[in-house]
Amino acid sequence: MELSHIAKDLNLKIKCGEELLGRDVSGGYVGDLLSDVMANSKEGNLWITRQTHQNIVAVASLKDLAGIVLVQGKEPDVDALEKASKEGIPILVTELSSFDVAGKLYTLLS
Amino acid sequence: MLGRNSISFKKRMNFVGVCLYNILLKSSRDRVTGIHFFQEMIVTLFDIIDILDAKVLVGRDQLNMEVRTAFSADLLSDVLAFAKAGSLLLTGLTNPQIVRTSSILDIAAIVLVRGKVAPDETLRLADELNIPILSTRYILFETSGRLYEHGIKGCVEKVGRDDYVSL
Amino acid sequence: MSFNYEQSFTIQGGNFTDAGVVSVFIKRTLQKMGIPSEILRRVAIATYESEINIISYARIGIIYIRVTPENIIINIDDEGPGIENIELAMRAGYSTADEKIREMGFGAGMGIPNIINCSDDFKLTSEVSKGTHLRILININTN
Ligand SMILES: Nc1ncnc2c1ncn2[C@@H]1O[C@H](COP(=O)(O)OP(=O)(O)OP(=O)(O)O)[C@@H](O)[C@H]1O
Ligand SMILES: [Mg+2]
Repeated sequence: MELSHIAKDLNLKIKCGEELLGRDVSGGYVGDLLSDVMANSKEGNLWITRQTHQNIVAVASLKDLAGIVLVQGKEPDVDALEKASKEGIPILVTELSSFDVAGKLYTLLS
Repeated sequence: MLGRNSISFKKRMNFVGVCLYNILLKSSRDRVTGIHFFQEMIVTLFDIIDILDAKVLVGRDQLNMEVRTAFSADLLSDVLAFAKAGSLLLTGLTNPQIVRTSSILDIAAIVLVRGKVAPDETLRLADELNIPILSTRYILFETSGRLYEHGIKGCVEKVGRDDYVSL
Repeated sequence: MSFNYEQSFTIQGGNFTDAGVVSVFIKRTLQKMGIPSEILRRVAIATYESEINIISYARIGIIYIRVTPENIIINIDDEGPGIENIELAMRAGYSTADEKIREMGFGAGMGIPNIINCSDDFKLTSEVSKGTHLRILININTN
């Protein structure tokens, strides 16, 4: 499913990478430990997390993730945003919790 | 929350609802429709074992426990700041602190994801503090999604006053 | 209802194995006294966050709790590095936690803001390379 469709359906706010929302999302991944996401996420996953520092961009980039959703009203750190724009990783934000974002995305994808 | 002995009329009706729901669930794949029939879903740990194909690591005697909300996190800092009493904690962490944190917050039960097996000290502590632990092989995303589909709601609760928080 | 109770607990810095033991004990004790659950939750969270902070950052600390019919006072004193910039430490998201603390699932910089949220009155003072002092007041509202 196209990322733009998900963003619209879940009412996600786009922080960067608006031009990349045509990307296909293969599934979701919820995780707040970078080592776990490095090890277990799959290409094309939309990553749902509460981490906001710039390392999330490196992980998303290395694992070819479709994008990052920050939960519970968290905003990306300034350098995370800069890096994400440069490396082409969309970052979206929501007030919802990880559980609710995952639930809604899961329902949407199935 | 766990008042199994004092079954009110509402609870009985809910029970009927759950039975009907379970029949619906088994007879058709259309789970979401089932949810809309009954405003408030009651899901027990027994149901959750089914939904998540989970193993019970601690708390075999508490599987009748009912839950309505869940919190998914790998950070106890967030659990402490946001998780509501009586919720399920879904996490990839396995250290004893998940149990002490749950005890402090009155978390109903813990679900370990990605087939994690907790170390002995965690299991012992959970047994001592009466907190059931289940383990599922699904990732946190799938675990959250499946429970959401079965009517479990997310929870973000702020404790006490709000006027200090400066993000 | 009238509550009267006081007790002190020593917390050893670096003792991650027992992190939370004291707070769980305090919670149980207050629960048996019949403290309302909403108050109980706030006391438990505030002491737990403080206990974790002593274990994470200080050499040794004391948690003192006093319950009166009107309120609950928690004093936390530790010997340790102290906090250089208190304003910063009170901000959500600020943390100097090391890898060990993060692996346990802590270190998101939410502890002190969470303590503040749980308190009716809160005071944090610190002297660098001496220690940190926290005073938490939680009212017992019986109306
Ligand atoms: N008792 C203490 N002694 C020295 N420094 C402290 C103490 N308590 C807190 N700090 C400092 O204040 C920072 C913020 O503390 P706080 O409890 O808010 O967050 P944290 O411990 O980093 O993460 P969390 O509590 O969310 O797990 C800490 O990272 C540390 O630098
Ligand atoms: Mg802390």
